[in-house]
This record gives sequence, C-alpha cells and structure tokens, in this order.
Amino acid sequence: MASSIGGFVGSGLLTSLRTFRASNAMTAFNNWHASAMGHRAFGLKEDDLIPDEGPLIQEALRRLSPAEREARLFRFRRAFALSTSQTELELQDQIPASQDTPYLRPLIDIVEAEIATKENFDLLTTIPEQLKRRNRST
Amino acid sequence: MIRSLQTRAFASASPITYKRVGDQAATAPAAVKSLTQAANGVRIATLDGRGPVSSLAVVVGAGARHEAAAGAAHLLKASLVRARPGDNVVRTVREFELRGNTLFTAAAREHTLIASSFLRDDLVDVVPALIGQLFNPSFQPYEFLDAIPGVEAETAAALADAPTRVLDTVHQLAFRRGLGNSLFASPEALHHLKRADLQAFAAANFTADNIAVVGSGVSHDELEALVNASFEGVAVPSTAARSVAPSAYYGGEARIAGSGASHVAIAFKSSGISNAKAHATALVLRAVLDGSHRVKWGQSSGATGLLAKAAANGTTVSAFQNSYSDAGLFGLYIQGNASNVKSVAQKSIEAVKSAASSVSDAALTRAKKVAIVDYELSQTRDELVADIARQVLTLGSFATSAEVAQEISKVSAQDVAQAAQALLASKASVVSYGNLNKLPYADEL
Repeated sequence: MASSIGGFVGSGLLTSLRTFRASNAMTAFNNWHASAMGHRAFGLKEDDLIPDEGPLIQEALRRLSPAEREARLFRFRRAFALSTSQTELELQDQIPASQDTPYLRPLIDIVEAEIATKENFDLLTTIPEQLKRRNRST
Repeated sequence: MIRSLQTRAFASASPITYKRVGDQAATAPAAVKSLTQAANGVRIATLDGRGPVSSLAVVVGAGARHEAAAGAAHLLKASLVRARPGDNVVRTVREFELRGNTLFTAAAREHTLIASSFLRDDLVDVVPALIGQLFNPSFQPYEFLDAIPGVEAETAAALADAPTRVLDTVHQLAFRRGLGNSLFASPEALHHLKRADLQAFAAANFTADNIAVVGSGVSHDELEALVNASFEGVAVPSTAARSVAPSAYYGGEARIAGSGASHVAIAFKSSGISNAKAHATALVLRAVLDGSHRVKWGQSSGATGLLAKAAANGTTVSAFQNSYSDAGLFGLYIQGNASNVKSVAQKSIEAVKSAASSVSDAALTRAKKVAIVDYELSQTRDELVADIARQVLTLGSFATSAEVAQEISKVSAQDVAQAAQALLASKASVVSYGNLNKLPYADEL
C-alpha cells in the first residue's frame, strides 16, 4: 500500500499518524485544549470564534436557521458585555463541553463542497469516458 | 441556374408513396404501450415512440387539491430539488446539465411531478436521480427558506397574467375547496407555512399506490429493472393515508378590477376523465363551439364554429375545457372591449343553446376532426407524461391519442346535444376582469 508521500515507507507513517489522531490520548488532549482556550468563559461556542469576514463564511451564516442565528447573536452580546465589565462566567453558567458542538462547520463544508463541485464541472469539457461506457439503452 | 438543377433532380427520383388503408386516425402508426407495477406497488407506464429522445417523469397524484395547508403543494414543487444527504445540490444540477438533459418539476391541481428529458442512453442515470430527489430525506432549513422568494415571484408572475388569474378564480368559484384551491401560493399563506406542513403533505401523499413512473420513448423492461433497483432502501408506504372528498360543483360570480382588455370567463359543470365517452363528448362539444386558432392570421374567433357569429369587432370568444379525475369545467372565454362583452356573452350563450338543441352533421364531422387534432397537439412531450400519469393514477390504465381519437369518432350529435343541455342546467361560474364599471353582472347576461 503506497502513498504519495514517501511511497511504501510513507504509507506506514501516515497510517500510524491516523491511528494516533484517533486514539484516546489525542481525544483527551483535544478536549483539554478546547476547555483551556478560554472561549467558554465568555459563554461562546467554538464555532463562534471562526472569523466571519469573507464571502464563504457569510454564505454559511446566511444558511443558519433563524433560531441558531438568534442564539449566536445572544452569545456575542453576552460575551461583549462580559468583556467590557472585565468579568467571566461562573463554571456552572458556561456552555458545557457536550453542548459546545460545531453548528457552523458543517454548513461551511457544504458551501465549500458546492464551490468545489462548481469549479470541477466548469473545467469539464466532455463527458468522462467511463460514464459513456456505462450508458447503453435499447 | 442552381434552381433548375434541383428541379431536374426532383423529377428524376421516384415519388414516395404511403399505403393508406381505412380512416386516417385509426390506422396511424401506433406507439408501443405498456403498464406494469414495480415490486413496491408503484405503477410504471411507458409509451415508446422509438425516437432518440426519452422523457421520464416520476409523478405523485397529489396537487393543490390535496393540500391541508394553503400553498403547500406549490412550495413543495419549488423545493423538490435539494441536496442529497452527504452531497450537494450543485452536483445534481450539473450532472444533468453535463449530459445535456433537462430537469424540471411541475405542480398541477391533482399531481406533482419531477421529470427529465434525455437521450435514451441516459435512462440508467436519470431514474435513480429522479427517484432519489423525490424521496430525499434531507430537508435543511435554508433550503426551505431559499425556496420562498422564488415561489412568491412565480405567484406574482402567474397572477399578473390575466387569463391565468381568471381561470384560477373560475376554479375557486366552481369547486371552492379541493379542486378550487389556488394553484399559486399567496404571500400570506407562504409566510405561515413550515417545513412540518410540507413533510405532512409528503407523508400523506407519497405512497406507492399514488406514484407512477411514466416514460415516453423508454424501453419498458429497462425502466422496470431500474425502478426496482432505485427503490431498494427507500421505504414507501403502500396505501394512501388520506381521504379525498369528492368534488362538488357550486358556481358563483367574482369581479376583479384590472386595467387593459376585459376578460370574462363563464364556466359550467362538465365531466371528468373517469368516463371516457363523456370526456370525448366534451372535447367534441368544445370543437363544435370553438373554431379559433386553426389558421394563423385568421379571424381571432375563427370563421367556423358556432361561436364565430357571436364575436364582435375587437372582442374574441373561445371555449375551454378542463377535465380532472372526478369533475371538469367547460366554459366560454371572452376577451376584448368591455362595451361589447354583454352582447358577445349573450350571443355565445345562444350558440351553446343552439348546440344543445341540435348539431348539424357537417359541424359534427368538422368538430370531430378538430377535437382529434387538438387533443394530439395538446400532448406535447411534457404534457404527455403528465397526462398518462393522471390517467394511470385515476383509472388504472391509459389511452393513447389514437385510442382517444377512436372514442371521439364514436361521439354522436345526440351525445353532444345532451352534453350541452347538461352544461346549461348547472349554475354558471362567472369571473369578470377589467373595468368593472363597464362590465355586466352575471345575472344581466
């Protein structure tokens, strides 16, 4: 099983890296890092930190449901108030890790996939041969 | 010089002859017709004319008539093409475009469909794509919200066209609920709709006995195999969880203010497609009355037909006929100057009364030919698959245009007169659009 990086040797390296990334140690480190980032102290979710000045993220934000958009706006206003008053949320008021789920990243993935699909199809000039071979109708 | 060469070439070739046996309509070359059921109960109908192009439609027998929430059918049609789970909508549309196939959805009073026209070889791609789109479990909030402005624009464009608006209102007057539901979602209705309404509409109506896969120019065996393969893993309930109230005819009057030419529609109760003889009779009666649109640049109301004498200068009158599963509408459509409308309407109703008393043989023969030609012309590619599906879902079988032509040939003058009498016995549904100060009321006609 060869890979593009390092050939036969590289495939062993990539497999072991993937195994490590999926391991319990890595997951625990990710969770600790997310808690230590400090956004939860301001009542924010991790996806609130994504810089939204750009057409792609703006399109993803446009696709948020009205309820999610309202909740995001509330979290921003609360964080701003906490920042100006130089306070942080108590631990029981913070968003727990179980609720700090990505709500914007799936939409960003969809928008990126749409753009990539459009660009791929724009580059096509003919129908690929394997699709033509498949179609034979009476 | 070149022209003379061409005529010499024509003269030398042998002329092409056709063998004609019997009446033209009966011995026309017939398309191959098949109707079977898929493994899960969905009906599959094909009419193969052996051309290079196929049309395929997956039709659900649910339209404006069956909606519980106003505007649900229209919005569902607009949001039928969505992203498949794990994929995006751009791929769906671009794959159809790459092959040069069309993809469209349509919603009518009694059916909603998603269809495509393509070269025959692409059947293997189109069938799973269409069935996957119709039974797509993924319905994101933004897909629902993004469809609403398009529906508003469609409604505004449709109701800005006077004949469309008048005919929609005529149906509303004639049938009230059910068939009287407007085809177009009003903005107020749209803003009250939720995804749950559309999902309830789909859950109640997308059942196996209510769905037909109709192909024109496709091979039936291939289509059946592909449909069975595409429905694997898709759970389709077998019987309809809905009760459809039978249509009742009411009648009434509506007046709509508008500028420009006046449009008046006077409609009566007619029969649905369930009775083939009555349907054929209605088509012949329409042709007996209406002689318009036969010759380009001819008289607007025609020179033949009983309504020709009723028309005035600048005001045209024609007859229209719509058949649904259990009811129909037959009426007169007057368009032109408001001052002439009253006299034209009265003369048109006199023409219908004269048809109710007797129809001459010459007029009947002409009308039968006109009815056959007009029926065949109305079966355009897209309309053909919708019509076959409507018949399959209502009657369980479908008639090709040749079979309908035979049915039309059997109509007698007595049938036509009786149909006209039945029309006049029902209460009229009158819609007046235009300058209401000048247009007459219904009881003044």
